[in-house]
Amino acid sequence: MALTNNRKICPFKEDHKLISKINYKDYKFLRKFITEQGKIIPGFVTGVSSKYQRMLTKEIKKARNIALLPYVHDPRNA
Amino acid sequence: MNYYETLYIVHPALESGRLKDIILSTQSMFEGMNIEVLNTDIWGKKKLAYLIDKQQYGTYVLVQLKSNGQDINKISTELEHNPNILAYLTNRITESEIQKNPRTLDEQILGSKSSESGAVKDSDSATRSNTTKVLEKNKPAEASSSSEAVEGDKPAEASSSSEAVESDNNNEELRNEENNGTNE
Repeated sequence: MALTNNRKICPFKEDHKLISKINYKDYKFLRKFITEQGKIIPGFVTGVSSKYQRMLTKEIKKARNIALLPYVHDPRNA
Repeated sequence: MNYYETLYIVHPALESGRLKDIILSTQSMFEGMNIEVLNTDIWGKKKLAYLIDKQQYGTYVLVQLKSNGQDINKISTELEHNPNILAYLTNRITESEIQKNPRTLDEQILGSKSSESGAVKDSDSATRSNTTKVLEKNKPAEASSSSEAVEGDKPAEASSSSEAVESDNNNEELRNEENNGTNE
């Protein structure tokens, strides 16, 4: 029962308009799904379903490639 | 025929005139390869998430193209050997993602330059002790990827105009904070 109570709702299933924001050009939106260090936050933490987590991961990696998002970031040196 | 888009970063040392030359030369290079250029969007000078060729800043340019698969492969070799282009990324897109930018290249370069000059002014005024403190406070907030900081942000549209407006807003915020600091 505890598991069902803690279950989160996928933000992309709640609001379908957000799906179009999963794009490497919209890197400010993608920042929601990475940590301060630059790591991709797993879906079970954010509640994103696996379908959209796969899309997010691809787009975050594209944004990293073109230096819109960091691969690694040390918050102490900021 | 497929649709593609290439986002490339031009060296930050290039000024408006030379920037236009680089963009036009890449455009003519694309056209020489039977690649049709549908749209060019200059995002302006941005801070890179990490250093590329020891550069902290770069001018982002987005080009949307129409081509077949064989010709688009040649882009990467050309861009790879261009010393003025720090990085590039080519993606396949659908026809619905093609944007039409009504602004000409000159207007876009001028628009991005005005936002740049605002950034330069801020860095110049940073010599004052008050402002350096403000900037130091702002930097980690911008760089941090915390979810709260980003939730309030508008969706970053690919159009350079929205980027320019956003950067202007940031500059205004900075100036306001500077004024507050000096008043106190």
